[in-house]
Amino acid sequence: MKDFLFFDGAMGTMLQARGLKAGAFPESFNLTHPDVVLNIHKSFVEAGADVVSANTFGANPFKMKDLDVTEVINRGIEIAKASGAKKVALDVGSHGALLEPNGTLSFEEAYENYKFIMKTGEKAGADIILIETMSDLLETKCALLAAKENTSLPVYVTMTYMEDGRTFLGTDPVTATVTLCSLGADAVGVNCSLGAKDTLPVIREIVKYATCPVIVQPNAGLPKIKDGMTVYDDTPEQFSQTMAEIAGLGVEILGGCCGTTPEHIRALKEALKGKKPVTRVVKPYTAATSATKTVFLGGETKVIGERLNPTGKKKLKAALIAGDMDYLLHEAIDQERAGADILDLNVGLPEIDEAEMLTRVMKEVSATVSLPLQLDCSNPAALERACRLYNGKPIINSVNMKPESLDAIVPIAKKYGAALIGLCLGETMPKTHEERFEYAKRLVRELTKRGIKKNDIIIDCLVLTIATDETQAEETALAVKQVTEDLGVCTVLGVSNVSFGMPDRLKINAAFLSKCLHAGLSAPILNPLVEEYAEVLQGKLLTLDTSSYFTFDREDAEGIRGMVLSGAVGGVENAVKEALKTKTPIEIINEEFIPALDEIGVRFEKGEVFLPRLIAAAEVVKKGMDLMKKDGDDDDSRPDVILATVKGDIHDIGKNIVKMLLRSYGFKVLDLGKDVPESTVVDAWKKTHAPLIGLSALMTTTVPSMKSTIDALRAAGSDAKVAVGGAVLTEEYAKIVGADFYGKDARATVKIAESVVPKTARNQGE
Amino acid sequence: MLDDVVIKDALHYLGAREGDKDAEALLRKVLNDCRGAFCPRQITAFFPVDKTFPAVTFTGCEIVLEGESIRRHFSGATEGLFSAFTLGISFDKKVRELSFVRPAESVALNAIGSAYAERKADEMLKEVCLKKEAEGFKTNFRFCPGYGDLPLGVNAMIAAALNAGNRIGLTVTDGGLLLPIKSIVGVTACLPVKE
Repeated sequence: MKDFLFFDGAMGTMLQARGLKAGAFPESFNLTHPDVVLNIHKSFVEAGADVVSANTFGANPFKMKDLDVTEVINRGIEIAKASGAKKVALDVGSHGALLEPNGTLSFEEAYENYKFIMKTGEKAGADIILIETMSDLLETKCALLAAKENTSLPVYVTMTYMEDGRTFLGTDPVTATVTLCSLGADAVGVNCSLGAKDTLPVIREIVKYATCPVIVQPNAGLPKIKDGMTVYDDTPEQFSQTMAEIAGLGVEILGGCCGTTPEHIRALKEALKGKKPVTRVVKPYTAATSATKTVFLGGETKVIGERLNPTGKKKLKAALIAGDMDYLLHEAIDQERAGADILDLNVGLPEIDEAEMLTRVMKEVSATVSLPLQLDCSNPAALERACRLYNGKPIINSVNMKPESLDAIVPIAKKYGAALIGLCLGETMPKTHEERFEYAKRLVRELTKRGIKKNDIIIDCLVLTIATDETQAEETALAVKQVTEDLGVCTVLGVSNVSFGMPDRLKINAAFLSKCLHAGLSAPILNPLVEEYAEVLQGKLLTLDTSSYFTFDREDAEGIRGMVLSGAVGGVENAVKEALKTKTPIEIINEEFIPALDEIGVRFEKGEVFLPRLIAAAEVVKKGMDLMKKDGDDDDSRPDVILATVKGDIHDIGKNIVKMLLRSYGFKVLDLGKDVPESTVVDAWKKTHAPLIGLSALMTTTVPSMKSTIDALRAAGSDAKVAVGGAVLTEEYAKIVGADFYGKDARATVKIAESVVPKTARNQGE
Repeated sequence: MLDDVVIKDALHYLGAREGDKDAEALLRKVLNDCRGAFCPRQITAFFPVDKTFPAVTFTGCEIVLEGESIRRHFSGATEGLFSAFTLGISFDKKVRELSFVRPAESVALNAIGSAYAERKADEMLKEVCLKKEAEGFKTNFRFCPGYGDLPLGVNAMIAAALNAGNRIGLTVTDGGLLLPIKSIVGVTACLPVKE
C-alpha cells in the first residue's frame, strides 16, 4: 500500500458511555438511537478516520432472535455512510458460540449465517468487510469463505490474542496469518486483545508472514474495572506513540478497538503525518497449519506420519469400516507423541463413503492432536469437503501431470490455499532421476501457471521398489537433490515403498532415508514409531548397500535348473542349446523350466527368497523360452489370460511381474497395460474370449474401478474367470468387487491360471 | 496447598474414599502432568441493585434474576458482583486426548478439572470480594444459575453483560450450558455493613 489507511476506534464502549446497558445489543441503537451512532461515526471521521466500521458487529441471526437483522445491517451501513467517511466497512464478529467439535454450532449453519450477513452488507452498500475480534480459526475461515464466495468486496480479518500470545482457542498469530493469507484475505492482523504495547510481540510475528497488508486495531490499554464499569486508560498520546512504533514494523492499516476515542485516532493520525508505510519483504515459505500450530518445510527435516492409511494395515481398515474412531485417534496420538510433525490421512476404502469418512476422521483427528494434516485423497468431492472444513492450511497429497488429475485437484488447492504435493508421474512412469526431474519441472511450471504459488508446491520424486529395479533408490535420491537444488521447492517421499517385496525392509528403509535426507529431502513420509528411522532422523548416517539381495550365487549355476534357481541369465543360451540336442522344446519347458520355477516359487512362498530372485528366475525362463520360440508364438489373438491395471491406476509393476511369470509357465498373455478403461477390457474379451482375466490395482482409491470393470464384463455376458491382485487387495475385497479369485502374489496367480486353463488347452508354443 | 484441596475434592467427585492411595496417586499424577492445559481466566463486574421484586434487576445492565432463591440471596443487598470463570479450551482438548489413550487418566482429569475450577474461581473471586469488603460491604457466596429455582438461561444474560465471550472466551449454548466445559458463571450479593 502506498499510504496508510486509517480505521476508526471503538463503537461499543462509546455507546456504553452514551447509555447502552451491559448485555444489550449495541446494534439495536441503529434502530432506536441512530443519531447517537451517527454522531460517533462523524466524530471519528472528523478525527481523520478514512474508514468507519458500521455498527453491525453483533448483527447475526444466530444471536439476534428478536431483532430484524436485515434492518439492523441496512440501517447500520446507511448511518455509517451518512457520516461522510471515505469508506464504510461491514463489521462482522463471532457467533459467540463454539463451532463443532469444540462446541455445538455446525460449520454449515455458521456459513449460512455469515453468507446472509455478507450479502446483506454488500447490498446495503458496504465497501469493505471487516471480520474482527475472532478467536476461533475455523469460524474465521468460515466467515472469510462466506465473504469471498458471496461478495466481491475486499475482506480484512483480525483476530484477538491474549497475554500468552494465543487466542482463547489456542491459535497463535503465525498460524492465523499463514492460514488466512492462504485463503485469500485482503488484509490480516489483530484487534482488541491487550493494549497496543502488549500486542507488539503478536504484531512482530504477523508482519513476518503476512503476504497481504497488515491491519492493527488494539484497545486503549488493558481493561480495568472502575465503579463497576470496564475502562481503558491508555491516553491518546500513549496510544499514538505505540501505534507509530507498530506502523514502523510494516503495518499499513491502523485504527483502534475498545476504549479508543476520536482523540486516540486524531493523535494516531498526527503521529504518522507525512509518513508512508514501510515496505515489508516476506521471505516465501512452505507451510501447513492446524488450528494451533504451523509447520514450516524446508529447514529442519519434518516427519509426516503415515500410520493413518489403510494400505497394508488390517486393523486400521477394520476400524474405518466399523467407524471406530477410537482406534484411529489412538494412532494419531501415538504418532504425535513419537515426534511426527504432520499426519498423512488416507481413508480410501471401497466399502466406505470416502467423502463422508475423510471429513469425519479429519475433524476428529484435528480435535484431538495439534498437528497439521496432509489430506491423502484423489477423490475430488471428498477432498473439497475435507479442505473446506479443515481448521487450518492442509497439504494435499497429491496431484500428478495427468490432465484429469490437474483439472480436478488444482482448483481445490487454490481455493482453500492448501500446500500441494506434485507427484512425478504422468503419461509414463519415470525410471531415472532425469525423468523424475523433468516431471518435477513440468509440475512446477504447470501448477504455477494454474495459480498455485511456487512455495506451496512440494514435489514427491516417486519412490519405486528396488525389488524390481535395483537402481531406483539411487535414482530417487538423485532426483531429490536436483529438485531441491535446481527448482528450489520442498520435497516429500513415501520412504517405505522402496523396500516393497524385499527382506529386511526396515534396514533398507532406514538406509534409504539416510541417503535421501543427505540429498536434501524436506519431509519423509514414514512410521514415526519405528526406532530405526528415529536414529537416522537424529543424524545417524547409514549406507544403503543392497547388492547382497541381487547376488544369487551365480557361480554355482549348472544346467537349466541351476540357471533358473540362481537367476543366471547369461548362461541360459548355451544351456538351452545343449538341451535341445536331446529334448523337444516342450520337454525342456515341462521337465526343466517349470520344475525349477516351481521350486523357486515354493521358496518364495516360504519367505526363503524374495521378489528380486523370483524376477531373476522368470527372466532366465523368458530368455530360454525366447530361444525356443517359433513364428506365431507372439500372436495374442488367442490369449489364455488378459491382464490389465484398472482405470485410474498407473502402478503396474505387480501386473508386469505376474505377466512375466505366467509367460514363463507357458501361458499366452494379452497385456492391456495400465489405466485401462472398462470398455477396453470388455472389448478385448469379446475379441479373444480368453478364459481368465487378471486385474490389478495398487491404490485403495482405484479398487472401485475393479468392481466396475468386472460389472462391465458380466454385463457384456463374459464367462471368463476374473482374478484380482495388488497391494491393497485382500480375499475379502476380491469378493466385494465380484472377482472369482484373489491372486495374493505372482506365484498364486500362476496357480489360479493353472486351475482355470488346463495344460492341454493352453496356447503353448508346441 | 491448593493442590491438596483439589485432590481431596477430586477424590470425592470420583466417588473414592479419602485415603485411597491408588486413586490419590492417579489424581496427583494427572494434576502434575496436565497442569499446562489449565488456563484459568475470570472476569467480574458490579452492578447496583435496582429492584428485588418481582425480580432482581440492576442498574446499567439488562440482567433480570427471577425466583425465590435469588431473591433470598439478594435480601438486603445493594450491589451484585457478577463473575464468569473458565479453565479454557485446552483443558477440554486434554481430557479428550487422554480418553483415547489412557481412559482412566481422562476420568481423573475430569474430576481434577471440576475441583480445580471451583477452588480457583473461589480464590480469584475472594480477592475481588476482599476489596469490596474493604469498602464497607459484606459479601455472601457465589450463586450459580441452575441452582435453586434460578434458571440456567440466566448464564447467557450474565455472560453477555460481562462480554465474557470476547474477554475470557466463555460461551453459552442455546440450552444455557457453558463452554469450555469447566466454566462457572455466578452472582454474589454485596450487602452494606451497618455501622
